[in-house]
Amino acid sequence: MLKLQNISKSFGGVQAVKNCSFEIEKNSITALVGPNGAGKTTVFNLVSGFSNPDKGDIFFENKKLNHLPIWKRSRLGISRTFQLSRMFRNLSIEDNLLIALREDDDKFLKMFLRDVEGDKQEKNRIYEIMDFVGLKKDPKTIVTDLSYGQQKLFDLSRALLNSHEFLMLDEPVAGVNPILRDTFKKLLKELKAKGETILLIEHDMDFVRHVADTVIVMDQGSVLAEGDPEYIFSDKKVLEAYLGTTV
Amino acid sequence: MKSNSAILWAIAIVIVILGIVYFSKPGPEAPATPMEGEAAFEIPDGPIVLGAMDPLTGEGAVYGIPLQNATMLAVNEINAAGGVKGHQLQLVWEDSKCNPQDGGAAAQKLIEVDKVSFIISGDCSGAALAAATLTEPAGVMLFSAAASSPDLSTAGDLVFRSYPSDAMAGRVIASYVIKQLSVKKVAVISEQTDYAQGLRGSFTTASKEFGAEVVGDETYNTGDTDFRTQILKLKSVSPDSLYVVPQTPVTGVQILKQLKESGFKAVILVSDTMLGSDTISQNKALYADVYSPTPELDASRPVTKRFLDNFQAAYDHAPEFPAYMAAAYDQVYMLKDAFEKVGIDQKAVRDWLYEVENWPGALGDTSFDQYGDPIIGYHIKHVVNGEQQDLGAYTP
Amino acid sequence: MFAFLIYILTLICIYSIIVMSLNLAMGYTGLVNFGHIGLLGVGAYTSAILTTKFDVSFIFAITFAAILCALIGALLSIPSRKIKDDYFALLTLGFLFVSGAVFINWTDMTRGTLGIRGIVRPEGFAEPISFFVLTFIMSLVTFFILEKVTNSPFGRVLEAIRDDEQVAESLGKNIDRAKMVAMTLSGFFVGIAGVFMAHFIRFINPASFWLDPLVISLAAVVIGGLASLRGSILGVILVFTISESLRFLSLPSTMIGPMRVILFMIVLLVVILFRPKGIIGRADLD
Repeated sequence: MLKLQNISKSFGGVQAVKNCSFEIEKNSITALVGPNGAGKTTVFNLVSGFSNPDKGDIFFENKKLNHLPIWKRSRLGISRTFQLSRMFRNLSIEDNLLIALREDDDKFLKMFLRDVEGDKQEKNRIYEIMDFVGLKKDPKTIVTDLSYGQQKLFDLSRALLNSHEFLMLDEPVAGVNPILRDTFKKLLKELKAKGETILLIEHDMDFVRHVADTVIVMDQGSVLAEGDPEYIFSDKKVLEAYLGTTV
Repeated sequence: MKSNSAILWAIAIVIVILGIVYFSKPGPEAPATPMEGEAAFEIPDGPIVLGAMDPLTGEGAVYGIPLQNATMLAVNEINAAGGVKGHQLQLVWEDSKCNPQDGGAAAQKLIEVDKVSFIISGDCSGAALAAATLTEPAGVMLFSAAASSPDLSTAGDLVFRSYPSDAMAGRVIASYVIKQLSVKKVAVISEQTDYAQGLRGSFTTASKEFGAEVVGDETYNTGDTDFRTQILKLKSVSPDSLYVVPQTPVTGVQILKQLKESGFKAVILVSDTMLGSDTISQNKALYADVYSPTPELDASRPVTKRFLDNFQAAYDHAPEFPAYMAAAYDQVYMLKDAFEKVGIDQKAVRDWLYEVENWPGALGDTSFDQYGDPIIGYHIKHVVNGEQQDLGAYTP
Repeated sequence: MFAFLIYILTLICIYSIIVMSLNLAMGYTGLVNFGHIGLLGVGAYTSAILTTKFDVSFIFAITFAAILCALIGALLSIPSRKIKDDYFALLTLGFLFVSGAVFINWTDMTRGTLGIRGIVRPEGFAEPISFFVLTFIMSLVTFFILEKVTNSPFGRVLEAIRDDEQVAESLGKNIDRAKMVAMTLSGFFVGIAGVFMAHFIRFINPASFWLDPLVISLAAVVIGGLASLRGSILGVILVFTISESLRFLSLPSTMIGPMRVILFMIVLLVVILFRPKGIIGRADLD
């Protein structure tokens, strides 16, 4: 579904990603792991369009993504979350999610005669997803009132509501309590069962081991190793790169 | 606070403010003007209330505050001496902020709330022209002190001013340099302000009328400090005479300096803002041979001396802009004279102003032309190597 | 007194249009546009020139002016693609300077600093009261149209752009086009306000579109609150109520000018301290 070919990117003299190549298969859960500074979030940014590669190509369903604007890539079906929750902070949960759900609402002529409250269907879809992820909060609350864990659930809801075939989750369970972590494990498996393709960045190896089909390890900008979790976590190279991390 | 209660608070504040306004001591209301047929010479009981408008804040306050001071000097002097036929003068002041919107609002308030029949002082043409659209239909006299735009001449039947239109000065110096100094080709460099543009317009028009050719016409924007481009262009057309019209002396001195540096040769004319004694004494080399038209502010005249002395005594410094401020001072006394002779009806005062001849003001002996603009004797000043000489009165 | 109130109310209506359209760009879309008053001037000058110099009808003049200002608004949105936030604001300030320079220097059309006089009100609306009614109706129409826009899904996308442009884009929104629409609408309505301003005061000069109206508009939009059209109207009403009622305080003549400015500033400070989002604002820009 997603193919990176010899991608390189540097920022002001620092080589963040160097000759990185990998492929993601449809309907799989892949974990992108590696020490801090390995280039994982940069890869996310390059795929979603937040930055553009210096060298190399990115293909999504055989379509070349290089230099395509962010919104066009989103419309191709790529949905992502952010390491630090980014929300429309002056708007309510409901408004945030409705924006994610709707298409064509950036078209003035089509939209300006419609009521912002939206039809029942749109709202029900929102409430459905909120239920699905377990986000129990009055939808009319302003998003900044959410607790940390709730923000993570919100991130997931938004990514799910925005039309997509490919989900990129950036540390979805970082700093989240164990119970919520379990919930996420279940959610991701359910999503895969529904046909989703997921790429996630995570540091929690236990979580990764339980959820991912494939693990891609990055170090210093390139792919160090690739394979199923058991193989990866006993690989010497990987252990060295992760000096100090408990596996 | 929920937004609903916030709105209620805001509405409450508005109501409270309006309530304060409604119940506050109202400003002095001018008594109605006497009806025609009645003894129009009788001034009704109580103080004579006049409206006054000046830029009291903002960039224009540099002129506005001094003008206000000059106006109030006259008012206070008259009141101390017993007022006008025993009636004290009371002024209601408004801030024109030197823009049309606020000038209009200020005039509207004076006309409709304070119900004045006269609005005096003021030097901003923009504010005055906006005010005139309101004073004329209301039959109120707008007697500007120093607004200089030529457009004010035709702004209305009851619109007067006590400082001559820029049209006068430009015409005077054009006439002098062409007729007396036999100049054939003239040029002008002027700043983009309504004061300077008015002078430029009247100078070029008059020059053509008197048979000279306008070979150069350069402008610059306020704040510019480099005029070499314009000077180069002017040099290339070799005028016999160049009229330099800055808004402020500082800029004018820069222009003279750069003219000298470029070796510019022509008879130099300047607007009277360049005649400040400090400006000349600090730049003697630049004033080798310069002419300027100026309304006569002759300190040897008793009226003028009185104004200058009294101002110094009241405010502890000399008037910043003697000519404009003399105009503001004069108009109050003019009105006093008019009120004493024909009463306070504005139409009667208008007729009186048209008829008066050589009224002795601090600015000069004043008469009014058919547009309500003062005809004041202009003098030509000749500055030679930093020494100012008065060449006497000159009529174009 | 009544005539004075009508005069002030007419100004309030005109400024409501100015501030609502400013709020659309600033409060809803997050585009701080200091050039808004420059566009006000373009609208005013266009109509003034067309009606006084070219004898064009009011209807044609206002249509032309509004469309011209809408186009310029659209053009102004283009730099926002590459230049963001504070730098964009500085750029719009540059537009204010450029428009001021054009008003002063294009003397063939604008008569420069001498200004344009004798602007005539449209037929049948010369009387203060009838012109006020016309202006009032215009401000109501503006309110209803902008209300529809801001209360629609499109309006929410604008707010998303304000809050986090990149995230909005990552949700599939064409943010450049949306911003252009917002600036176009904003320009359209401030152009109309400019026309009404010119025909109300009947004399304009470059000083009419400089700092004084900018201060009033910014104060009103901040006091009333960002992302609230009702807030904009409230802000304008408050600003005018305070500054006009200060005229009625009996102060010695030497203190009138500065005192009113100081009192006005104090009120502004109080509002900012206690209600940083404005009285009924729904957003703040960081």
